[in-house]
Amino acid sequence: MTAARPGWPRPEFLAGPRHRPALAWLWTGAALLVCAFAASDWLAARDELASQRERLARALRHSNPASPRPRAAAASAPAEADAIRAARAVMERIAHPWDRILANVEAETPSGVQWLQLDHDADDANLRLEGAADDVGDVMQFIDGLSDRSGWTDVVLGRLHTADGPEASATPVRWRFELRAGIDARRITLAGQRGER
Amino acid sequence: MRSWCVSDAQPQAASEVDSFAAWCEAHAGTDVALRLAGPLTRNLAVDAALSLREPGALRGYARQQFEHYHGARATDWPLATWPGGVTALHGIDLGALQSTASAHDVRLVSVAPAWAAGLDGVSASCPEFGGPGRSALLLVEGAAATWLVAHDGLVVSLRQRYLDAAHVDDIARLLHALADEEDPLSGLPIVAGWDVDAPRPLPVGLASVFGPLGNDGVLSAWLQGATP
Repeated sequence: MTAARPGWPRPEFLAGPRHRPALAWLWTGAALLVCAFAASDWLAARDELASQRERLARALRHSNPASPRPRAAAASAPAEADAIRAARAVMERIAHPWDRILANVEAETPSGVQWLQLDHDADDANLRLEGAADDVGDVMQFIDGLSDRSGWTDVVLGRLHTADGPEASATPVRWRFELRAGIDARRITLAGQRGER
Repeated sequence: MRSWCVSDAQPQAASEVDSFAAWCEAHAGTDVALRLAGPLTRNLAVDAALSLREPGALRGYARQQFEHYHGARATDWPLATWPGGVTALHGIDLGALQSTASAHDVRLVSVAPAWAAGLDGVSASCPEFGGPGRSALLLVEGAAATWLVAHDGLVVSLRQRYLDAAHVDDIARLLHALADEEDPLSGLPIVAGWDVDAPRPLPVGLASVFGPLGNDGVLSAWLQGATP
């Protein structure tokens, strides 16, 4: 027969004591293969694949622009235009809805989550958060809550590990995590003005 | 849905089953293990760099990823963890299956993805699969395929792909595409499967074939983790 390789995955959807070792049932029972070949499911899976490919291609285009930005042109522009641009940049930074962003984060933070770091710049549509929690469920709750708010997109968990390193066996476990989110400052401002979430 | 009795040394030929309820009615008092076809599952191999070893942490991370890519419908998918990854079940109701089984005095002893059942059998007859370095297996279930990559015996990638048709030529095309996407393997990938139209073998040098790919292929042996 076969030599068991303990390294291979043995995923099992039935939890708890009802599950007996595989070899026990092999000789006493029966096996059913449950198939799903519904056309709609296939089409959905294909669409999903196509959209993921498209997303990946878009991401690559953004991260690897075909031509460098025309810095030379900017350098040769009149000093007055530079000054106007700089002033506009300062105004945009001042107008950035910092208070709304921080209020959104605060409002969705469960009591078991502590924040360690927040990285965000007014001219960047991305935000990064580092935190610690006793319960992974609190982190997921925060992600769900923030995702539901206007102007917050792609709130995703980038990293999750035990605070004391993977070997730590102490309970309860303390988790460190990192989140990333996309921010639409205009929508966050509008939602704030309208008193929406 | 197909059924095998595995109480004999030589498994009986497969029989088609209309529904789980009908099967339970005809097999009252027995134990049954369900093996799920690829399209009923979604798999996520978690990057080892995330150091997610505990099942609870794997579940939490996987739930968030599945919801991100599949939306709210992934909220209730049952999850099964394995070292380095998580498999989600969708499209069938696990609770309803259990109720149907117990209503007919059938003991549901296991519900697991079919792709995991035959890995021991493959590595027993093809020792390079799961050995040192990178090895890969393409499990073809009709036009649905699962591409599994192992590194030093641990699964590092598990992806689902679909063939245009369940034909050996489409398997060859998929293998070429996967070879372009994949880091170099230590040896040839292994192909196993069933329900494939295979009037001719795969081109030489493309893959090692584990058992026949035809109508029932290696399915019976696969479900028992045996060599065909």
